[in-house]
Amino acid sequence: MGDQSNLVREFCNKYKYSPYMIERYVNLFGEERVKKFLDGNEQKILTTFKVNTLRINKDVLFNRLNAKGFELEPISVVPDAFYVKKAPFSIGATTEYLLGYYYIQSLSSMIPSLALNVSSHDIVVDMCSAPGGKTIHLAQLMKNQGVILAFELNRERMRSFRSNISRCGVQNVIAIRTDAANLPDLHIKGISKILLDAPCTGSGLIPVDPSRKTSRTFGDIKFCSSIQMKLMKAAVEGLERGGELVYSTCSIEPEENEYIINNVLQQFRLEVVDLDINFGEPGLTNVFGLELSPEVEKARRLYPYLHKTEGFFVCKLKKV
Amino acid sequence: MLEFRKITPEEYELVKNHVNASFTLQDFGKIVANYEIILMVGKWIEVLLVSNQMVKIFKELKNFRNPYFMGVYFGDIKRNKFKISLEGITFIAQYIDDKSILSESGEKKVLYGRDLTKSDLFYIPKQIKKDERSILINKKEEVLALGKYLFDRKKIGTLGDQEKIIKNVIDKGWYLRKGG
Repeated sequence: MGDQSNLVREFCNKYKYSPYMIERYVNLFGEERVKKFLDGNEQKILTTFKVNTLRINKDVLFNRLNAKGFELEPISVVPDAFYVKKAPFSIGATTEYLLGYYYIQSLSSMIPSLALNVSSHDIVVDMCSAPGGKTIHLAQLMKNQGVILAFELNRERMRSFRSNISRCGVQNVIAIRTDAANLPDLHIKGISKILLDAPCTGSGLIPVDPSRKTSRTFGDIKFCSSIQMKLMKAAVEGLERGGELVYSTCSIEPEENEYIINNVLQQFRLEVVDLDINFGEPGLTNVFGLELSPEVEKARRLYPYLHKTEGFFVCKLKKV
Repeated sequence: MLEFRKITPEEYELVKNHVNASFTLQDFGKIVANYEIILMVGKWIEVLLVSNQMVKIFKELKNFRNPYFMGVYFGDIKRNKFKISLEGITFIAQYIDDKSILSESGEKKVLYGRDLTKSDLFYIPKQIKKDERSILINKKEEVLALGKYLFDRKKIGTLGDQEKIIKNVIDKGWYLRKGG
């Protein structure tokens, strides 16, 4: 016990986290792994972008950006996406960007849309849609057909969402400015797919925003967890039987991830579906002394030190 | 409070006539044939192109809540005049033959929201007249902006290279400057 509190103190001093976070991470990962995890959060994460195939072919865009001095490397786990290894100027300030040929998005954030496996005749709900990267990705996968119902509560974020999807030539979105928890009250029939990238504490974003090492409390985790559960219930109620739901957060806290999945599995007729993506670590099933459904293992966790992207959680469920 | 409704025949004529006249487009109806034109009426009127499947969902939805927007934002009707949007010009550009082509300097300037001088143009449509609008593309034929000519084509021939000849109406730099 004394050893552990020494370790917590040492890591708090070295990495500048709130003590409660280090304590949790030591419990979560064990002493050996936690150092790798904390070191990983200190590493810079490469900027990544997704080609907008509604507007341009991947190879043509690669050649154009290459000619401007951008050094790019394809991302193996996501088609039509690149790491920016070298940039002579901001990748968000090119003519190609303004023409909607690509959008800047973290690698982890590309996974949920891909995992949802949408088709051009689906009615898809994107529950927390701003700033729009995942919606644009869905529209591409749907070839701009079918319908995406995009929810966003915040007016400013909705404005930026609209600008982004317009820039990228997305045509199949109906945007609704309301709390996505109201989804069941809208009585929309035939919703076959739902993407719930839930609001969260963002503890996976520490490599890009170190202020999160101290700016969130355990109360914030509990608060986010209650919102996530509310949204998740609304998603399950709004989804048609046989429909699929992808839940994701940029948090690595089990209360915002595995606990949520475990809770909905207990409350609704759902099954966890394998993600057709060979990336990430399995979801945790024994965490902080709690034994969760073994199904939760089918979820995926991403860590900066292992996957060179933000910390992330993604899980796919089917309503049976 | 927003109201969504189908375009009336009079409003349709207004939009069609504006687009046909501004861009020498012959068959506006054919271009929008696969869409329903829905108007979002608020402070002003937004003209939206919406697929049939989306209209079906919209009809279910509107009993409970109005959308914030949907489909392709084609332009606005204000004081009985139609004003095409950035998305609108991108949407119709492929059907228009005579567009103005910008030089490299023109491409940069226009995306900063600036007006253009004669030297910024690589090609000027032969029949262009003062106050007419023209879609501005680069040499790769990509739509960058909408401009308004300040002189007739004939007069432009007599002007110096640094004379301002196009007023920038809207350009795709907007997405970075104001889009958020």
